[in-house]
Amino acid sequence: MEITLILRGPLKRYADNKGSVTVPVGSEKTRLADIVNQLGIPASSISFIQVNGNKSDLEALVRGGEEVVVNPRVAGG
Amino acid sequence: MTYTGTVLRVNLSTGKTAKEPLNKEWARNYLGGKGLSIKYLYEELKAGTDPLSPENKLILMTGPTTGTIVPNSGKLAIAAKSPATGTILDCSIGGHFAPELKYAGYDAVIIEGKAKAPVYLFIEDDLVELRSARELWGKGAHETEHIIAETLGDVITMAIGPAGENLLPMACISSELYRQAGRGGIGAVMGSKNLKAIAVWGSGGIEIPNIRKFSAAMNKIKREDTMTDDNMWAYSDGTPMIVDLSQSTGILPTRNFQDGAFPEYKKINSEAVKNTLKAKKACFACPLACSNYVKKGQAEVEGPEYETLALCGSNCGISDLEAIIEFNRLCDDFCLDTISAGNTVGFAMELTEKGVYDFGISFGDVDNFLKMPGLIARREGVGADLAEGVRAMAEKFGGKNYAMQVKGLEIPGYDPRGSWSMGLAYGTADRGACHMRAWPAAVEAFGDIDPFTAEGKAELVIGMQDDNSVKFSAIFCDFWALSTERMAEILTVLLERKIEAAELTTIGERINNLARLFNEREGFTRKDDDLPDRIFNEKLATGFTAGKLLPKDDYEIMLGEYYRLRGWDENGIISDQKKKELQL
Repeated sequence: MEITLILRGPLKRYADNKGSVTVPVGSEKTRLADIVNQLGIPASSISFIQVNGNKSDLEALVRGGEEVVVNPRVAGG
Repeated sequence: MTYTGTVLRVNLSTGKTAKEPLNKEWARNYLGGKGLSIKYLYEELKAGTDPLSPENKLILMTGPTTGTIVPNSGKLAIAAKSPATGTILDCSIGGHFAPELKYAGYDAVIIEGKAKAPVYLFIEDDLVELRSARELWGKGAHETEHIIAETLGDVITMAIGPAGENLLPMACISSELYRQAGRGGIGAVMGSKNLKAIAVWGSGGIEIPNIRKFSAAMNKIKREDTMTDDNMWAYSDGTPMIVDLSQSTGILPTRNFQDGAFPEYKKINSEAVKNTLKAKKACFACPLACSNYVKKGQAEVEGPEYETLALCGSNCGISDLEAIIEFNRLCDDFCLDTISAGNTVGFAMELTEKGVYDFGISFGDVDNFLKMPGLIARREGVGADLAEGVRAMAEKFGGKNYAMQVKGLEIPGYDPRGSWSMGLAYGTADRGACHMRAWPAAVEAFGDIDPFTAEGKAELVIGMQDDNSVKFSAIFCDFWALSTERMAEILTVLLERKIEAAELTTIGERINNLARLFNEREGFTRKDDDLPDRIFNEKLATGFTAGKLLPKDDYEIMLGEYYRLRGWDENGIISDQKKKELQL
């Protein structure tokens, strides 16, 4: 099973500048924090995570088939 | 020290210009930029001054970082009493004007009075001239800049368009075609003085002790602190990044803040803007280059920024990116603040659809949408009603509960019902509803702080307001999220004395209290620190924030806590003790 991982903004560089990658997840549910760690993205660079469009967090578990968006920190508006 | 020590004072009534020494004591306590311009205005304006009268003053203020290679130091503060709100008003404009002014030998320009006929101000080092602008009056800012460039050559220019000439409360000042000092009617202050443009060229420089060590240090800081993940969103995407953030957290203004999610957001998000990108552009001394120069079909502009995509896009029910780009370009040329313009058009759309008053425009109506900037700037047709903004429209036609403004300034692109801290930020900002004094959405709605509680929000907003005030006074651009420790490190070199982070925090607090004192003197109290009824009583309909609102009781709790922590009484009046503590 796989999830679709979308990295926004400067975080794309953690996946060869691809905006969207598929990430295999094992037969057990996987913690998002583990997926993010594997790619080398520091938690401090992340503002928030979305799972299937809804705001979530790094402790969320995915089993496969989800679309996960990782948003960068943004200062200023 | 990196001040020139000289202020240029221009009296448009008499036509006389003169140099005077920078007030060094004030510079020590307020640094420059936002803080120092507010101090000059507080001391020199009488309470009750009509913002559109010759008695108002327009101040251009640089800071100690200006003109050096300190990263993100290219901005200029422009301040006056606001025609839109009657409060103190300071704006921030990017590009290259600020360093050029410093190279010409000036820390600041103070513009007083009113010219008998349209003029523009030309500054070239010691040469200061008021030249006739009769041929320029009525022209857009873009044509004005082109003509001045043909006449004067390699100068940096700022100008107003018809909106400023016609004294609109949403008139802005434009520079280098696409940089703006946007909010509060700053362009109308220039218009009221018959001042069409200011052009500057400077041949000087800034002396830095041990320039090699300084350059090496700034380059290291640029690589290690500025060009990091935290800030490089500005390079990779620019502010359009925020469309997806707001949509997914349910705070994207949609159809005059009737909702917080826009079904067609993918047509106006960062990916959509990137598909139209021609070039990135940067201000002076900035490695982040947040600006996007875009072209789609016949429309091109440097932009659109998030605020424009939100207020002129989703807030108007417009998903046609080419139309938004063209609307943006028209606003830039006519010199309309896109936040206020988009908000005002959205309000007109809702009034029309509800049958309150027929402005002949509905949500998503691209054809009439594109006619609005010209009509509004020229006060023609329905533009004559829209030109005064939503508060005045509500007084004349109705719809007060959903006229989305605070103190007369239209609300920017974050719905407080999905980000309670933004509600407090809007209510307590010195110039009316503003997202630049504090932007707590960054760590709340877009972070891991609970957006739907009053707890901790006062402390959060105060901290950000004080940090931003000193940041915009030293002058660093908003988009470098630097610590006060880093600011202190850099200012220690520039000011040639030891600066600690704690001193900077105090300066920030002092600036915010002085701004509040200015407003107090003008009669503002707790009742003005309020939000539109829609925020308190109408639930958002769809998306992440479906069913949410910001209860008035919770807002009052946040506001009360804010006053308490600030050392103000329950009516928002600064205590004598706090004034003494901050040397106000």
